[in-house]
Parts: sequence; C-alpha cells; structure tokens
Amino acid sequence: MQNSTTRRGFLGLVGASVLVAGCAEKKEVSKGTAVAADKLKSLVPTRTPFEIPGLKPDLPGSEFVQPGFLTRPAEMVRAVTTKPLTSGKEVTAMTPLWGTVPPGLGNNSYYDTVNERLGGTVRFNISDGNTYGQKLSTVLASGDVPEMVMIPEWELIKIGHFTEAANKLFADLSPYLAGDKAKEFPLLANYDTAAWQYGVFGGVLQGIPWQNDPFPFATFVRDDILRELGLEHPRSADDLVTLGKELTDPRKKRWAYGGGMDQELQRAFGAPREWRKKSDGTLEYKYETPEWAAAIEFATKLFEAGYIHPDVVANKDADNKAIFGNGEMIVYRDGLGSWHENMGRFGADNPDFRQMIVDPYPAHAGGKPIMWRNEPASMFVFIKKGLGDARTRELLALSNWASGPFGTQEYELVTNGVEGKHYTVEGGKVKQTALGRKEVAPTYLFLSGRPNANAMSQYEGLVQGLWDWSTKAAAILENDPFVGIRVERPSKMAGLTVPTEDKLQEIYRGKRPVSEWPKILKEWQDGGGNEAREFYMKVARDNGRL
Amino acid sequence: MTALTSRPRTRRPAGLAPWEERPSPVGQVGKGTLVTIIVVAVLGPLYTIVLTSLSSTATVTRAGGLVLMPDGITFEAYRQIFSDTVVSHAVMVSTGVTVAGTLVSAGVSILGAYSLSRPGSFLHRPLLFCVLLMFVFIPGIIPVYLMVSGLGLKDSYWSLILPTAVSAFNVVVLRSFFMSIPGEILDSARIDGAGEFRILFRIVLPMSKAVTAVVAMFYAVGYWNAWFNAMLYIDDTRKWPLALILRQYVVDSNPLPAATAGVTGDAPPTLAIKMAIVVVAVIPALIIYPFVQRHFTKGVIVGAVKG
Repeated sequence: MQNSTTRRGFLGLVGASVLVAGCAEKKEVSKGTAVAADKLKSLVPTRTPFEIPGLKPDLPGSEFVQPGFLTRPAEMVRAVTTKPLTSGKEVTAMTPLWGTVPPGLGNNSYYDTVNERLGGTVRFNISDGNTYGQKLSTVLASGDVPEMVMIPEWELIKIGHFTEAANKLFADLSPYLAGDKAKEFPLLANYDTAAWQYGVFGGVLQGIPWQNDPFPFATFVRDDILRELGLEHPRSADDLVTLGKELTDPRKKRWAYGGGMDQELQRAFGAPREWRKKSDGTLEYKYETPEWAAAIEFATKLFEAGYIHPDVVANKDADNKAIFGNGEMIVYRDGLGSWHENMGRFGADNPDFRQMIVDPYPAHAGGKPIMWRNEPASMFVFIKKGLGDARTRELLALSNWASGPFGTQEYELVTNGVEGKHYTVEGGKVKQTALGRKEVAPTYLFLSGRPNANAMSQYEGLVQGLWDWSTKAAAILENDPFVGIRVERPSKMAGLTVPTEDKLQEIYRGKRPVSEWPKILKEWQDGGGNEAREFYMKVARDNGRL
Repeated sequence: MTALTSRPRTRRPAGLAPWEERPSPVGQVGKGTLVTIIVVAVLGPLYTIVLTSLSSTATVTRAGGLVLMPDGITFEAYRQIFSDTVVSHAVMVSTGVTVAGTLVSAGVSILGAYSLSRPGSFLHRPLLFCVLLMFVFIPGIIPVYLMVSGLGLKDSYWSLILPTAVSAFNVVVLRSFFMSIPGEILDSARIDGAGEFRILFRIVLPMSKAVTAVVAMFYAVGYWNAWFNAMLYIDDTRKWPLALILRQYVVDSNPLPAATAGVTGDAPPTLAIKMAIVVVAVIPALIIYPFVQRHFTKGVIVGAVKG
C-alpha cells in the first residue's frame, strides 16, 4: 500500500475536479429570440395551392376547418412523375416513432416498394418517440447529425440554445424555397404560409413544417358508455361536477375523468393559451389571470371528489388512451388525432367502442366559450448543412414527394403501403392487412408535412363529427398576440415551466393548498416571468401588436 | 456498591455472549414475522408477474389488472411473444452482448486489478492514479458519443460493450481482494519459476473465485439491463437488445407486431403479454443469482474493507 495514492492527494484530486466542473457549469443564458412577421414573409415559399384534378371535398374547407371527405376517392392522382432520388446515394434520416418498430431494410417489403418508387434508399434511424428528446439532444450536441432529422416542437423547446444549434447544423432552405423558388417543389409550395413561417429559426428558414391542427385539443367521451347510462355530453364546466358524480363508481372500476382536464378547464374558464393583451397595453401571462386561478380551484374539486382515475392521480403522465379504451375512464382531453387513433386501436376488439368529441364549453351555463389557437406547425424536418447544392435539392425533392396530400398516390403509398398487400379497400374503407400492420409505420411520412385533410372515412361518423366540431371551434378561436411571429422562449422562462406546473399538479392532488397559488405565481414572476414579459412586450411592440 | 456491581444484569447462561443465547418466544415470533414480511415483499411481485403472464386475457380482465389468484394456466402470452422473431431475436442479442461484454469487462478488470495490486509493477502509480481519476471524472454523454461515432462503432454491438467495459469501482474491488492474498504465496510461485500470467491464472484467480464471480455478475447484470447505450448508438432495429424491446412493449404499450397479434390488430399488448416479456427479461438474473449468491457477501465485503 505504500505506493498507492495518498488520501491527501486523492482529496486534492476531488477538489480539482469540483473546481473544473464548476467552471464548466457556467453557461450563457438565452434571452429569447424573435423574428419579425414582415421578415418572415420574405423567407418562405409563396403559397401555390396544388389542385388535384377531380378531387372535391364533400365538406368544404376554410382557413381553420379542414376539408372533409366522406368517402374515399375512386382514383388517386400521381402528383410526382419523376423519381426524386437521382444520385444513387443512400439517404440517412432520423425520425421518431410512437408505435411498434417495423422490420428493417431488407426485411420490409413496404420499404422496398417506396424506395423503388423514390429511386434510392432511405435508411431510417427510428427512435422511440417517448424518449426521442434524450437521443436528439445528444445527437445535436455532438454535431454528428444525419442528412434529415425530424424534430417535434415539444422537444426543441426543451433544448437550450436550439436556434443557435439549428443555425450551425442545418441548411438554410430559403435559397431553394423563398418566394417563387418553391415552384420547383410544388407540393412544398402547397403548404400553409403560417406553417412555413413557423419553420424560421433565428431569421433562417430551416424547418420543413408538419402542419398542425388549428386547435390544440378537445374533450372526448366514451359515447357508448354515456348512452348506456343515459347521460349527455357536458355543456359547461359546471356540468362536469354532476357528470363526475354520475359516472364515478370505483366498485365498477369506473372513473369519470382522465388526464389533461385541467387544461380544458383553463380554456373553459377563459384563460389565454399563453400571453394576453391587457387593457393598459401590457401583457399578462396565463398564470396571472383570474380565470386561471378559478380553473385551478375547480380542477382541485374534481380531484378531491375522487372523479379522476387513480392512475392519473398517481401519475399525471399515465396512459390515458389505455384506460379510456378499456372503459375505466370516460371523459378526457386529447389532441384531435387521438380520435381516429383510438377508433383504430380499440374499435377492432370492441365493436361497441364509440368515441365522440364534445363541443367547446364555457365555465358556466350561458357563458361564451373560447377556443385556443394552436401553433401552426408541430414538427419540423431539417436538412443537414454543408451537403452541397445538388444534394440539398435532392433531399428537398424527397420531402416534396413525401408531402403528397390526401388524394395522391404518394399519400396512399406513404400512409398505407401497397393496395392488396398492405391494405385492402372494402366498401370504400381502408383495411390494413396483417403484413401492413407489421411493415407500414410512419417513417416516410415524417420526411415532410402536408396540408391536413379530414378524411378518416373508415371510422363511422368521424369525418362529419370532426367537421361540425371544427366549424364551431373556428368561430370562437382566440387570437394570440404573437400569431405569425417565431418567438423562442427566454431560457429562464422555459426553465420555470416544469417546476411551476409540477406545483400545480401538487395543488390538484391536495399536496399543497389552493391558497398557495399566489405564492407560486410570485415565484414564477420573480424567477423570470417578469423578465420574460419585458422580452415579449418588446417583440409585440416591434411588430405593432401592442 | 459491591453487591450492586457484582449482580448479573440478566439471566444469561454462563459462558454465552448475548448473541449466542436462545431468543425468547416473543423475539422468535417477531423475527419470524419480520422475515415472512420481507419474503412476501420480495416474492410477492414475482409471483404476481409470473401468474399474470400465465393467465388468459379473460382472467386478467376479471382480476382488473395483475392476477393474484390463479384461474387456469395458459402459455398463450409466451406463444405470442415468441411466434415473431422480435423478442426472441432481442433475447439473442442481449445474451450475446452480455456474454461477450462480461468476458471483456471481467478480463480487462482482472488484468488491470492484478497489475495494480503488485507494487512496483510497470507505471504502477500513474496507472493507479488514472483508475482513481475515473471515479471523479465521469465522461459526459457527448464526448463518449463522439468517440463511439468517431471510432465507427455506431450501429455495432461493440458500442454496447466498450463505452462501459471497465468500471473503476470493480477494478478497485478486485485489486483490494488480490492485495489480501499473502505475498509469500506469490513469492514461492516465483521461486518455482512461474511468470505473472501463470501466477494470476493458477494461483490468484482460483483464490479469488468469490470476488471474481461477484464482479462478473455486476457486469453481466449491467449489460443485460443496458438500455441507454442501445437507444443512443443502435439505429438498426434488428440489433436492438431486450431492454429496448421491453420498453417498447411494456412501458410504451406498443402493440406486438401484427403477425403475432392476429386479429387484435393494433390493440396494445395485454397485461399477460407484458408480464411474459418481463419474465423473459428477468429469467437470466434469476438463474445466475443462486450460483453467485454464496460468493456475494464474501466477495463484496472483502473487497470493500481491504485495501
């Protein structure tokens, strides 16, 4: 032992490492960024609608209502006649997947068919969507990115200095797409302008947007169970109390509400989605509004009464779809896409399964409901910087091909695979085969976005129901003061969100009294909320929004 | 005072230390109850998981979740998970990585620990310093990612082994154990003409079975459960180990590949299938532990207190 390191030497080493670590911890804090609305317009494609001959929706679309197709078109149109991949080089792409991973290249006939159609091979690096952020942040920090990367909005807002990273790692697409240049890629030029503007980071067009539903979420009910019990949809937040009492029966393993109802209550009570302009010309954040405080109090009552499913009480991120599908929970909040997802997932095993959407409701009977306006895009595809002009154009051509909207052969191939092999059409409705369920997964679909269409006609009542609901919701859509401006949250404010919302969840669950909310709000304001307000007010003033 | 100090405090049989005397009936019942509670707490979840994996969907539905009382046994869940190659292939990948990784890790750790246990060996102090440095300077994810990527190991099974191949803790534990072996034994071997490798393999390792088994088990369990490295470095889904597959089906509730799910289509895996996958993941540890358990206490304690 005489030759071993001495205790003093070892402690010195620890001290030195702490010192080094302390130096390494010193980070610059992002104060937020914003790109003015006027500048955005010059960076993005001029919208040129892509008309599909003979395709006319049964239910007309408008700015916030997707066109509805009650039946499947008899003929699909081929939108891109040439093969987009011409160099013979393999494309590498990193995409998330929320579902079962399909067999890889060489063992997947869906991949083979699409790659043959593309004229080249796309090698996907598929990652679990639930842990995508962990992999993504490492890959971005390393700088070793694939040629194409799909990044969801909810992941990129968690990454500090994302705009700087994006500017360094990903290509500027304006030289290929700005204004009329996008005519070379007609399916990309078919996108909504607001969605394109949302793909601008730090004044550079970088993200090919995945167009969002205009509405962030809705309340859904198990309509089959409500009918069986002779109950109706809630027409106000107040109705949720009586409905909760009627539905909740722990002996029958049935609870009224699932996760996310607190957000529906915030909307019902009239709190803004983010910032709201006050009469004195300043901005107030949603936390600071009386509507928000009232929604907290109301939500806490639902928890106290035991109307929330115990899985959700125990874990705010519980799998709502699973307990909704097995009938243990009857009412919950989810994105609009969950409607067809649940119908597909649970309808096969349970023919009685019937999910319905609830009309936007106010806090109290006779009140005027509002609907929050969603961000125009929810995910983005980025192309690696430095690939050269020809390769970047080739990858944009691939994105253009993958952007085929509903009614095109490209959309059919990307979404469903090959007819007769991966799916069949029975009575005008698409039915996946066993091979289709195994091999077809959203992969090429994530190489771009596309204009939305309400076309899930295989699920009875869904197209009409969604169109009716969207029409009502569009009429009460609240405008955000920052619509059309790409704003990156200041780091301090972004860092405050999770701890503040965690405290909110503790209030709901009785771990903190409701009376503690003003103190939590003060902490938020002092910790960075007020600073963020200054930043947002400057952005709003610079863009003539205040 | 004399009377007070000379009086025995308890009625203890002469010559017996406090821990050697027979416990009272109350004490025995108390200890028995405590041991029973611990056994139930340990075996209860295992029993429930195995029973649920062997139950039909109807039984699981009736039980409203995990099954506590058996109501017929069926191997349907196991048939389903092994009727497609996804789970069975992942088991093979995990087994291969665990075996290869454990051999590499144990081999490197034993060689390193042995050399560091011999004062005066080549670069003894600087090397020991480097090992101790590994305790305090844990490389971040990004440098390791860059190194794996730079060495071209991405999408290779080696990316699951090399970044975590050597644990400084295990090297120190082994070194401490090796240092406890009397130097006279090694000196006599040298006098008989044995070289360092012969001393290590013929004398030191046979005398260090306990600690070697424990360290190998530490490594093996680590490789078997490794999820993060696979998530980070393995892009080819055919190379995914069981831990990654386990997360897909059990945590994310993704449906099994349709070919195995039959008519259920995109329905999430039933609880029985989820539990069957958990059982498959737990079995290797259950098999290995009884063989290593007898070495466990000795190996860890000796390694911990010597040095």
